[in-house]
Parts: sequence; C-alpha cells; structure tokens
Amino acid sequence: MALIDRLAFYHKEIGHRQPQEETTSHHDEEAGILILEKKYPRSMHHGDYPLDSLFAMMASSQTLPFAHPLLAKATTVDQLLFFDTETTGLYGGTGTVVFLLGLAFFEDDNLIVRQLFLRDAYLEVELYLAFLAEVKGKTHFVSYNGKAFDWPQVVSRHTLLRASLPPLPTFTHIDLLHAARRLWKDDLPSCRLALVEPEKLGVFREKDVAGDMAPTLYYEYLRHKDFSIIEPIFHHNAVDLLSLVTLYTHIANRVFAFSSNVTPTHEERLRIGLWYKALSLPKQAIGMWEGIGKNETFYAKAQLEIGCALHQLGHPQDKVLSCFGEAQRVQHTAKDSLLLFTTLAKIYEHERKEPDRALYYAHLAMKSALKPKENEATQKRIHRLTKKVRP
Amino acid sequence: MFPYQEDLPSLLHQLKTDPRYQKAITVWRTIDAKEARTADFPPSLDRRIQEALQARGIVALYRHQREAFDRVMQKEHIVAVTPTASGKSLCYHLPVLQTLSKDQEARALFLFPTKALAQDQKQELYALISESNLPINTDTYDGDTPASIRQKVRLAGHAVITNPDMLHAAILPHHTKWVSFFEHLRYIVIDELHTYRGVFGSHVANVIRRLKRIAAYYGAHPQFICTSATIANPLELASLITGETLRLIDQNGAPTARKHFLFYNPPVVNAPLNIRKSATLEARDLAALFLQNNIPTILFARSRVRVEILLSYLNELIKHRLGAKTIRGYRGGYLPSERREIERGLREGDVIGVVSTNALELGVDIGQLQVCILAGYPGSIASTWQQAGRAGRRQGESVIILVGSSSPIDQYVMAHPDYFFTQNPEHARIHPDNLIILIDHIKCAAFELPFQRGDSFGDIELETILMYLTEQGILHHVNQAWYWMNQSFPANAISLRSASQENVIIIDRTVTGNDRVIGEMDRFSAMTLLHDEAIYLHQGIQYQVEKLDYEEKKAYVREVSVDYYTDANLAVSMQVLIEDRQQNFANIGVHYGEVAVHAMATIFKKIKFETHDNIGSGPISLPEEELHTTGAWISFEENFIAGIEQTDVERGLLSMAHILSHVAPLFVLCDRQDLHVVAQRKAIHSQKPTIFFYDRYPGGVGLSEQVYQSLEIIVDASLQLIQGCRCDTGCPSCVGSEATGAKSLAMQLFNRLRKELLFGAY
Repeated sequence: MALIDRLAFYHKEIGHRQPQEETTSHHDEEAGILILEKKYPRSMHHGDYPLDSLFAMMASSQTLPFAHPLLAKATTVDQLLFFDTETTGLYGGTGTVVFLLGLAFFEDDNLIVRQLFLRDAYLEVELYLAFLAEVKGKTHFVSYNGKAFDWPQVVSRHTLLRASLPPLPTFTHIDLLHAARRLWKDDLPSCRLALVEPEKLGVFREKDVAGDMAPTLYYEYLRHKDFSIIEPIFHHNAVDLLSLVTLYTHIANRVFAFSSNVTPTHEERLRIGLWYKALSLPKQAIGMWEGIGKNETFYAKAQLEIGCALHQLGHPQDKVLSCFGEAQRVQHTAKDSLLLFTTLAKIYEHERKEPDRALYYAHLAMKSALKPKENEATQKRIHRLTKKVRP
Repeated sequence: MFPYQEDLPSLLHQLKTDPRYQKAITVWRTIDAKEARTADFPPSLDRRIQEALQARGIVALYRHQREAFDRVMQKEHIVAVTPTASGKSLCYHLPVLQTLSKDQEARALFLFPTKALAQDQKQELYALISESNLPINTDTYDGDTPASIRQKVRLAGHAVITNPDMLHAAILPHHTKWVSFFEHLRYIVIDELHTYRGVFGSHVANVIRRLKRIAAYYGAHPQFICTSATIANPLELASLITGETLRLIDQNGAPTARKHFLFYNPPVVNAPLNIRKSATLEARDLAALFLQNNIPTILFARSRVRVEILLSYLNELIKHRLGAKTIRGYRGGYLPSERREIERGLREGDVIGVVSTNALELGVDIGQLQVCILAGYPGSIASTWQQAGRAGRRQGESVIILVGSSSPIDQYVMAHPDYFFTQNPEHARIHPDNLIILIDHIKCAAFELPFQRGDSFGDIELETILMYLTEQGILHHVNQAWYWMNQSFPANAISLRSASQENVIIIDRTVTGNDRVIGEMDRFSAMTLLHDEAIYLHQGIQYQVEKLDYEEKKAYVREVSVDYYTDANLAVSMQVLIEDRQQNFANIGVHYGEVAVHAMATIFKKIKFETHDNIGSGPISLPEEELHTTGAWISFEENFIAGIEQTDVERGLLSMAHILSHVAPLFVLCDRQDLHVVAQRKAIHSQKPTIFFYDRYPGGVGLSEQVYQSLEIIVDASLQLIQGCRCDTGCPSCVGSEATGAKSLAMQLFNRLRKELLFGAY
C-alpha cells in the first residue's frame, strides 16, 4: 500500500464519532522529516464536546478578576498551542529522542493537527527548525504532563543541537495533568489521559495502540522503514491532542463556573475550592464550597473549610461558629479534627473569653494531635487554659 | 561516674608487663615521630586563601602540597600519594580554589568513593571557602540532595562534590542539564584513587571515559588531580583510570606522631589442633580495656556480621559504664541517615567507640581516636595502613593492635611480620577493557551522545562493538553515526559496585502493617546470607529471614533473639570454555582461559555464638547462578599423585585449595571474595584432578591472570604457611582440616607442586 493510502486508511477513525470532514495535506516523499496535517472542522464533536466549545470558555476567561494557573488571559484562541510528543523512551535522559511532535491549534474555522515526524535519527535539526517555525506567535502551550516530561525532553534535545538551532521560545505552560490531579486524584485510580477520556470526556478509543508502545513501534519502523508500523502512533497522538482541547474546556468550565449548564460534582467543588485555597484565593474557595448542599457527603468538610477561611478573613464569630457547628456533625480525619477543635479553642479563648469551653475543645483537639509538635502545642494550650479556668 | 581510670602510657606499660598480654604480643614495633618538611606558600596563591590558612595557624605548606599546587598550575595532571593525616585535601583544594577564585565561570568536579566521604569533604571545602571569603558555591550532588537544590547545583555550583555512581546514573545521562558546568569544567578531583580497583575500578575507569567524552563535546578538557593511599602502582592506576599521562607526587612532607604497632596472636587453647582463642573475642577484650578507661578506640572487623557481633558484645559489656549510645556500629549497608548520625557523634565526641567494617577505612574525618584495633588482618597491606591511620591522626602517641585470627592468611602475617613491615604494598589492578563492563559503558555512552565514525572509546575496536550493538537492535546506524535506539535507560541497569546487577532489598516486617526497608545486598551474597531462615544482623539486632523472594529481589525479615548465627555452603561446578595460554611441566599443566561457573547454595548450618557448635542445618532452595569469567587452573597428571591413596587425593586437593584461597589474594591484592578457588577430583573438561582459580566477576578483572603469572610465589608462600604453622597434623589455620595426616599430605603435595614449577618444565 502506498504511503498516501495508508494515511487515508488511518484517518478514518478518530474519536468515537466520525469526523465530518478531513483532509490530508503535504508530506515529504523520501528525504527530510515528515510533516503530516489534518484539519478538523471546529464544530466537530470529540466525545461529549464540540471542539469549538473552547471559544466560549476562552472568552469567559478574559473577564475573570484574578490569576490562576489554568487561565490564559489577554490571549486569543489562535495563540494557544496544544502540544504532545511521542518519544523513544519513557524514562527521560539525554538519549531519549522525541520522534513525533504533535501540535494542534485553531486556524480559520478548523482545528489543525500538525505532526512533525523524525524519519531518521540524523534529521533532528530539521525537526526542530520546523517546530520553531510552527510555534511562532503561540504564547500558551497546553499539554498533559508536558511540564515534567515532554518539554524537558525537547529542551534536552535542543540543548544537544543548540549550535545549529535558534533558541527555544518562551511561553506560558498550562499542564492539564496538574489540574486533573487537583480535581480527580481521589475519584480516579490514576489520572492517565486514557482513563480521564472515557470517565470525563466521553471519549472512547477504539482500535488504538497503548501510548507506551510508541518506543517499540518506532524502533520497528527504523529497522524496516515501513510506515505502516508507526501509523497507529500518529493516530494515537492526534486523539491525545483532540482530547487536550476538550479537556481544557471541561476542566476550566468547572473550575471557573463559566457555564450555567456545567455543574461540578460535590467532590469536584470541594477539590476546586481546596485548589483556590492553595492559591490564596479564599473568596473563590468559599464560593465553590458554598455550593455543596446540606445532605451531601462533603458538606461537613466544606463547612469546616468555609469556617476556617472566614475566620482567617476576619469574619464575625457567629458565622464561623455556625459553620463549625455544621462541620461537627461528622467525624473528620485526624488532621481536620485537630484544625477544627484548635480553631474553636482559639475562638473561645481569645475572642469569646470562655476559657472553660476553650479547654473543652483543646481536650478534643488533643485526641487528634498525633505528631509530637502538634501534641506539644496542644498540651501547652491545655496547660494555659487549665490555669485560666482554675487559677 | 567512672571508677579509677588509667591513661594510655600506663595501659601500654600494662600490655608490656602483664604476662597475660606479653605472651600474645608477638611483635611490638615503635614507629618514631617524623619531622615536617615544609615549603613557603606559593607567591601566586590568592591573598584571601593565604590569610585563611594563616588564621588556622598554617604558615607554610608541606612539601608535597606545594609541589601539587605548582604542578597543577603548570597544567599537569597529577597523582599525589598521601598517607592518612598528611593534609592531602590541600593538595587539591589550593589549586582548585585558586583557579575558581580567579574565574567565576570555572567549574570543578570532586569525586569521592562514598557519599559519607563526600559529605565530610563538603564541610571541609566549605569551611576553607568561607574562611577565605571566596565567592565560590560548593555542594554535594548525590542521592540525598533534595530536588529543590539540585537545579541550583547544576547551574551555579562551582565545585560539585559527588560519587562515581551518581556521575554514572544521574549526571552523565542528563548532561544537557549541566551545560554550563561541562562547558567550563577545569578540574576533576579523584580522591581515594586506590579504592578504584577490581571490578569497581574497572567500571569507574569507563565512567571517566564517558565523562571526558561529554566534557570534550562541550569543548572542555579538564585536568585531573588524584590522591591515593600508598599502593605499589599509583601512577599506573591513575593513568588507567583517567586515560592521561600524570605526574607522580610522592615525597610526603607531613610529620607523623609516634605509633606503637602491635601484633597480637591470641593464645592457643588446643595445642595439638593449634586452635587459638577467637580473634573477635580477644579484640573485644582489648577494646574493652581501652574503652573502660575512656580512651577513644576504633575496632575494625572484616565482615558485616562480625561488626554486628562485636557491637552486641561490647554494648553489653560497656553498658553500665559508658551508657548505651556511646559505642556505635558503622558499615556500608546502613542507611545514610544512620551513618551521618554516627559520623556526627564521632566528631563531636559523644561517641567514644566505633566498631566498623572497612567503610571507615577511607578518609572520613572522625577526630581523635587514640587506639585502633584490627580484629583480623584486613587482607592487604594498603588496607591495614589505612585502617591503622585512623588512630592518632593529628598528634600524640597512638596504638595499633592487629589481632590475628585463625585463618591461614592471618597466621601467615603473624609469623612473617616482615611481609607486612618491609614489603611493598600491593598493586591495585583494574581491567577497564573487560568486554562486559566495556559494552555496558558503551551503551551508556551511546545513550549520552551518538557515536560518530572514527570515535574511540578505550583501546578496543569500537566500530565492531557498535555494529554488534546495531545487530542486537540497541543502536541505530545511519549516516556514519550510531544512535541509541532502545527504550531502556541503560545506566539504571548497570551498578558499579556489585557483581550481580540487581540488589536484594531487605524488608523488616516485625511490626505488622509497617514494613520498612532496612538495607540491601547484592544477589550473589544474598544466596548465602539472606536465604530462608538465615539470621541476618543489622545494627546489632538479629533478624531471621522469613522469605527470600528471589524473583522480586526482596528478603522479608523479622526481628528475633537467638544464640546462633547461620553459615551457608555454595556448590560450584566448573567448565572450561576456551584455553588461552598454558605452560606444561613434567606432571602438571598450568592454564589460563575462559571458564563457566555454576554456583548453587546448598545447605546452611546454625552455629552457636560462644562455642561455635553446629546446632542444626537446613536446605537452601535457590536457582543456580551462572558466571562466565576468566580462570587459571592447575591440572595434575596421574604421575603427580602417584603413591597417594585415592581417598587422600581429594582431601589433599581440598586442603591445597583452602590454603591457596587465602594466600593468593595476598599477592594479587584483592578481597578473598573476588577470587575463588575450587578443587575438583575429576575436572569436567579433562577428567584430571584440577585446582581452579576464577575471578568472581563476569568477564574477569585480571586476578586469575595474575595468579597464572605469579603461581610460583603463591605456592612458595603457601608452603611456608604450612611449615610455619605450629599445629601437629593440620588445623583450620593452615590446611583447614584437623584430620590426621592432613598437614603432611598437603605439605607433600605442595612440595611436589613447587618442584614441578621449579624443575619440571619441558
């Protein structure tokens, strides 16, 4: 089968819905690297989302009054580059070669997937020259684990070839694996993209190779120079890129509550709130937690977090105490219990001036003070309060 | 708190006069103090460094320090031979700091054989830098370096301190993260060069080849500054490891304090069998004598097991006088945090005694120890002097007591003090072109940087190996270059230290649900030390192995309290693959070539602590291990054994092998573990009685080749050992058997062998 026919064959199935329209453009015949391009109409569905749901999300992003690692502000859709590589090894190190640079971006009314393929080991300079030309004008890279893996690999190879190449671009890197872990680390057994896709995006891969086959297939390809060996990896990589587009939309819509018809689960609300908390955005955190209703599993934990956040923001004790009252209806982890009862003890000691109640909570805190330091601090508090109660 | 305490001179007097000791002390040599020979600071030495040295009370350099500085400044590669406590650090600190202080871009790499040593040296280097007020960043880069600091070290560390393993597995494979470091790499300091011998040294030589290759790629051609303890061939070793021509600096100008060197041979408790009191017990009692008088003492034992036994003995004995924490064990298998704590305790003085394996042989600075006791001969002259150097490093009188064990090698040394005091220290041998080691490192090198046509690596036909690796599907050959094309990360699969490449992890499950890793061990040792039901000792605590999962490389242990230890047997079969060289004599043949060894652990015995009684045994069911290596063998013709009873032939061969296995390592400078000796009544390949020597590393590291060349000397020394032994008919200290006639039989055979070698040549 001629190369062009094979490519046609491989284009047939991407995602679980048939693409409405696809076109194949140029490729190099014999020498040089291979650049493969596919166009997907922006209205095409990939899993549960049309690709262009990203546009609405990006538009809403521009209006938010705070910074967040997921946000690409002052940015238009055409400045975004979705980025995923395939490599000759999974452990990193200088000898791990990037053999496929998969790029996706919107242009006119299409999502363009452009795949830069290293036809042979000695063509790397050409590969990166093409890459550097492609990424001009892109200010934000969106990847899945690209911060820890794909990009450092590119940097490493570029360093080796730096005498023959212009410098790498600078850009803002949005790593969706980090976001996925924030939201779903307790919900999914792992946050591998292959697992996130069916669970969260409605993407079901059929006839797809496992990503970790990439090295083996590439070596096979090099030995036989038979393109059909490596084709499945092109397909795999393209699906990854499409999923990046819709996953970005899916996560951002939840985190920023952009769309009224997106309702995060209560667990997601809790996690998103904790992410805001970690980013020192307590108001946004409280907003997220307040959406967790009274009868939900995470209600008590959310109330505990709201109480602590309000306390830190200097809100009236009544409000804080009422949250803590709600929080106390269930058993928490030791860490949370300690936080809860210690905060209560502080409020009753310093603000309410009710040392006997404070002492009561300090004793409760003691039960959860497992670490030596916590134990010592709580002991001190109990000692001080005991003196206050029985001078 | 303490009762009456005696000082060192009065204890020495006691040793000299008390008949109990008098008898056992067979050698008492006093090594006189030696004056320092000094030279002025080099005029070019940075003013700030000069002032910092002066502030420490150093107003001049020892002569060797000055020569090192001058030679390095003249762009020569150097190797300085420096005994313990001769101020060797300044040999490399001064020229390196001088250059780094003038050039902010310049970088230096310090290699130490262990992490502990690197940690120690970092403190020393850091102190000199800060006292000199120099804008130089220095840090260690090893497995313990927090991830947060690593990047800073890579980008801004002027002097980076690490070990060969880290260089091999973490720095070189990621060299693109170290661009600014490699581009400006000026110096490579290799301290404790003498430790890079045998398999480990052969690996390290290849790691250095890779290092130079990467440095050259970034345009740097660093200078080597090496230091070594006294060995016979420092220059040869240094040039094999660095691949450069170096200048030898061996005129040591440091002063030494007065030392008493005593040989202590434990009293004979069974005269006919020549059984002596245990060296371990005697060394323990001698250590106790000093420790109870609050004199800082270090006690060296040869094996991990013995360290643990001594430690439990001593802690029990001293508990009521010095408190539990003041005597500590020290050996390679401890986790880093444990080791650091011990080192700190030693430096700060709240640890007064240490029981150590030779992990402390290296130059870790542990402050003032006045007494050094060696429970058994450490196996080489160089090692013995290194360990002896732990006592009285700076000044004042010190004592070294070598306690002989019953082993043939120890008894040989006890009886031949001149072997120790006057003979040249041993040669350190490495074999960097061992094909297996070499190919391992060529793989790593290809991973790091593609090979181009015309490249070289060591002294072999590189292209042939590259083509071979291409055929194996590991490299990809295109456009005159060879690219790494394999999914694996090759450095991970190659360990520099251990013959077998995967270590067994030791997991303590004493507390249910709270498994913790307490150490690791190479696979070959694990066959005999971590088999099911083995007693494994760690920090003086006994563990019993519940299960050795050989597939998964995990040994599960549980704390126990028993009064025995275990000792396992290894059954070995030998096959000759290729015979490379041979010498024929009238009735024997001496051969050298490639052999295949099949080894299988068979049974273990339980041996009671105090009495050494055998109190039980059990089978070991582990798979056979196969080893392809180099070997030397002596095959005996029928005429040679003429007149000897058939049943005696086998016994005689076993006795000979026993002695040779102890004596041969003395002359080829290796650990007994590295060179094995096996006797066979009928060798598979020739059906003749044969004694094999083989290197215990795939591909061999030159040990049996050395045996092949020096067989005559080894046989002479073996004969002397038997003749000099005071037993009647044979004992564990010579022929290894107490059976009647064993000694005369072995003597007869060795005499015949000697005659053959001297007069029997065709």
